[in-house]
Amino acid sequence: MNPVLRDLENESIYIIREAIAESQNPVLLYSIGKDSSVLLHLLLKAFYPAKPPVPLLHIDTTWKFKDMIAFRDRRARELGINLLTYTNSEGLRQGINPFSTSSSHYTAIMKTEALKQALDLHGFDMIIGGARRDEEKSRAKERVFSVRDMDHRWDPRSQRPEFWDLYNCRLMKGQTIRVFPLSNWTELDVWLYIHEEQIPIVPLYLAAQRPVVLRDGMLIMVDDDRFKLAEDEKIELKQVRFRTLGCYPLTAAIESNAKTVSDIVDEIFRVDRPERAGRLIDHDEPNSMEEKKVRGYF
Amino acid sequence: MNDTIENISNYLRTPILRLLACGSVDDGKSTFLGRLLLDSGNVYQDHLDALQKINRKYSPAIGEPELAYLIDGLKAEIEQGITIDVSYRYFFTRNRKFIIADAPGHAQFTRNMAVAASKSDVAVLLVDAASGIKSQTKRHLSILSMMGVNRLVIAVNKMDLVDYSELRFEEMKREIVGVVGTIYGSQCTFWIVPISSKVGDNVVRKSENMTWYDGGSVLELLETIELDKAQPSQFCLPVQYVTRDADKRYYAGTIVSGSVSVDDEVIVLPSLMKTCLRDLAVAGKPSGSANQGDSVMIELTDDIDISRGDKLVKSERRLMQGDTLSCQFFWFGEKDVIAKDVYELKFLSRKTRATVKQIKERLDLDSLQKTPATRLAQNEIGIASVSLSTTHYCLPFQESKELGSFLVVDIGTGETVGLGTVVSVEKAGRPYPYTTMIDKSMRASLKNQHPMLIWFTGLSGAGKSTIANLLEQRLYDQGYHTYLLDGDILRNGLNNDLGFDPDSRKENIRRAGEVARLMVDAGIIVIASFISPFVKDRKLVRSLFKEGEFCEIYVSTPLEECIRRDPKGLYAMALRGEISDFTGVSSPYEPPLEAEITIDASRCSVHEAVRNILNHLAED
Repeated sequence: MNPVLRDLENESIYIIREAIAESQNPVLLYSIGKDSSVLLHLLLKAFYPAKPPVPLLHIDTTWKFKDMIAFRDRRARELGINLLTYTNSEGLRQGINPFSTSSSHYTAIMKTEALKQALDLHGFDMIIGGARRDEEKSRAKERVFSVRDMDHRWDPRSQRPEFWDLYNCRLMKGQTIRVFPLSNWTELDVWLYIHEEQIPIVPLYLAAQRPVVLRDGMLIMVDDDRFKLAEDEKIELKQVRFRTLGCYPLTAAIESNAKTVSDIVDEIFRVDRPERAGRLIDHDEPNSMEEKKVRGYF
Repeated sequence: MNDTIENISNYLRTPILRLLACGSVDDGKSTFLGRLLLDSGNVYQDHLDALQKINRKYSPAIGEPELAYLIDGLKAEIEQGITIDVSYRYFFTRNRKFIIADAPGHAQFTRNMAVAASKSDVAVLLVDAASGIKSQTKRHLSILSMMGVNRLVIAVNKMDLVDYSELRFEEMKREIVGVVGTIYGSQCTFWIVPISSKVGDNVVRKSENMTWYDGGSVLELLETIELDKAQPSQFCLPVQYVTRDADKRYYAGTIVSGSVSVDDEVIVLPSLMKTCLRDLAVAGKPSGSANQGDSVMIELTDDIDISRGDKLVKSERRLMQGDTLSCQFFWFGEKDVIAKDVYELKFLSRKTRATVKQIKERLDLDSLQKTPATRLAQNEIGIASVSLSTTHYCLPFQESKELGSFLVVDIGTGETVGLGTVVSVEKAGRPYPYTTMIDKSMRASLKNQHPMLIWFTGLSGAGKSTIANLLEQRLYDQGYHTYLLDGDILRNGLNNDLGFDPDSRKENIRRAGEVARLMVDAGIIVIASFISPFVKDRKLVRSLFKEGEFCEIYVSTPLEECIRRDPKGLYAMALRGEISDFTGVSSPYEPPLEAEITIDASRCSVHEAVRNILNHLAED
C-alpha cells in the first residue's frame, strides 16, 4: 500500500484499538455511508483474525434511503456483527418528519435526541464514529478522543490536550467519549482507500438514472411514496449520485457521470464545492454544525 | 487503474507531511495559511461565499474576504477575532498531502504549542520583516526544540512593507541563524524564505518582486522535504490489546521500532519471560514479518500472562528500567504541581500511579535560563523527579518520542494536567520478583474468578467488619474463594509486635497489604478490614496492585454515630483518656479522596451496603 493510505490506516487502527482497550462498554456508530464503510473495514482489520469485540449502532430516523437500509442489513449479516438500531419512537409518534418539520428541529429530535436516548439506554461509554476534521470547520478543532458531559454535550472551550499517540481516556461519572479514528482523512483519501481495498459501498454513491425533483435549487430523490409533490414540481429522471448519504428528503443529489469509484476520485479533483454542501441541515445558519455538536450531535 | 489515479501517483507515493504553523500575535500567521490554501486551490467557492456572509455580520467594515477568516473556525473565536484552540487543516497538491496543526499564539500558549508540535514533522515559523524577531518567537523555538521538531521553514513575512529589500532580509537572516543556533545547537535543518502573505509572494508562487531570492517558495519546500527513514533499531512492541478467539490469545499493537518475523524469539517485559512468535498479521492480513509503524496482531507459542501495557522486545537491554524517572514537565493544570502530589501517568498503552518526588528546576522561556524551583504553575516548563508505583521500561525522549513521553492525569478530575518527557532513569526499579511456571492468571482461571483486594477503611465502630463479613458470606455462597483479612486478627499474630503510634500503624498496613498481595497472587478474593486512617498508607497498598485488582470501600459512618454505637467500649475509654492515639478522638482519620465506593452505614442497612458492593463489583 502507498505511504499516504498506510499512514492513515495505521493511525486509525491504533485509535480504534486504544478506544476499545480503554472502554468498559464501547460501540461503533454506523451511519451506512462511505466513512462508516471505511470505519467498519478498519475495525475488522484492527482485530483480525479475531472478531471485533464491539457492536454497531445505527440511529434510524425511518427516512434513510431504502438502498441504505438494505445495504446495512446485508453487511451486518455477511460479517456476523451485532447490529443495534434505535429510533426515537416518541418523535415518530409526534409526527416529526423531514417534510413538514423544520430541518433543525427534525435533526434535533430524530437524530441528536435519538442518539442520546440510545447511548443512555445501553450505557455506552466510548462511542466510535466516522467524522472527519476536514468535513466542517468546527470539527477541525475537535479532539480524536472528545469528552462529552452527562448530557452528551461538547464543550469546545475545555478540551483535553492530545500529544502524539497518547490519549487520556479517564472518565468521570456520567462522562462519555466520542472517538474519531478518521479525523485525519479527507474525502479524497476515503475514496482512494475504498478503491484500493475494494470496500463495499451503498450504490447511491455511484451515478445512475434516478427519479428526482428540483426543490429550492437542490435535486431531491423520490425514494418512496411519502414524497408529496408541490403543484409546480415534477419528477424527472436524471443521471445523479450522492456525495454524502443521510435522510433522503434532506440529501441533495448532484448530476454526475461517475459510475465507478475511480470516476469519483476524478470528479473530486475537479469540484469546487465541499461535500457537505448537499446536506440541508448544515446550512440553517452560519456555524450551525458547531451549535448542533455543542448540543450532542455527532 | 485509470488516468486520475495515475495522475496523482506523486500524491500517493510521497509520505504525508504534518506541519504546524506558528508566529507571534501580529506576524500574520492566519493570513499566511489563508494565502497558502487559496493559492494552492484548496478553498472551495462556497467557502469563499460563506466567508463573505460572515464578514458582513461580524466586521462590516471589511470589504474583501479576509484570508484569516478562512482559518479561524469557532464562533467564539470569530466574535473575538482570536484563535483559542489548535485546529487542523487538510490540503493537498498533486505532489503531497499536508496536515496543518494551527497553534494559536496567545492564550494557553505553552499547551497549544506543545499539542501542535507533538505530531509535526516540520514547523513553519512566521517572523515580521518590519519588526524583527520578538521574544515570543524565541519561546516558540524553545518549545519546538523540546518537542523534537527538528525541521523549520522560517518565513520572513510582510516583505512588501520593507520594499522587498534584500538588505533587510539578509539582516533578518543573520539574526535568525544566531537564534536558532543558540536554541537548537546543530540539531536542526532550516530554510529561510522572504514572503508576503498579503500579496502572495513566495507562499505558493515564486515572487516577481524579489528576483534576488533564488530558493523555493514555502509550498515548493514543503512539497519536497524528505522525512527520516526508519532507522534500523531493536524491535519493541507495546501490547495495546489482548483478545481471544476460539481458545487462541492474540496480542495487538503498533511496532514502535525495529522489525519482527514469525519464529523469532521475544522477551516479555517486565516479566522477562521468553517465548516465540507463532503467527503474525499486519493490518488485517497474514504476514511473515512486520516493521516499524505496522499495526500487528500476533500469536505466541506459549500461553503466558501478558497484559496491556507489557512490552515485547528481542533484547531487554535496549530499554531502561526504572521506578524513579527524571523528566521534563510541561504543566497545564490550574493547580501548581509540587512534591508529594500523586498523579496517574499514561505512557503508550500503560498507566501507572506516580508520586512527584521533587520539582527541581524551572525553565525561563525568555532567557532560556534554568532556575531552582519547588513548584510549576500553569504553562510553565521544568525538570522534576517522579517515583512510579511499578517499575517501567522506557527510553529518553531524545532517543524515542514513543517510549519517552507520557501524559500526567489528575485522578480526581480526570483532566490532562501535564505532559512529561523522560530525561533519564534516576533509580532502577525492584527487578521483577520471580517468574514461575504457574502464574496468577492460571491459578485464577482454576477458580474461575478475578482475584482482587477489597479494602474497607473507616473509623472504629463504623461497621466495616459487619459489612465485610456479610460480603464474604455472599461471595462464598456464589462459589467464590475468599479470605477475610481482619485487623484485629492480624494484630494477634503476625503483627503482635506493633503498637498504635503512627510508625506502627504504617507498618501494620504495609504488612497487611503485602499479605493481601500474596493471597491475590494465589488467586483469592481478599476482603480486608482496617481502620487505615492515613491516605499515604492506603495509597501504598493500592500501588501494590494492578488496576482493577484493588477496590477501596470507605465506610463513612459519622464519628458521633460510631461513638453512640461503641461496640467494644473503646470510644468511652479513649474519651476518658485511658487509651492514647485513638482514631477519631486523639489521632486523625484522613477520609479517602478516591474510594471506589463510599457507604454511610448509619443511612443504610448492612444488606443494602453489601448489595451495592456486589453491584459495583459485577459492573467491573
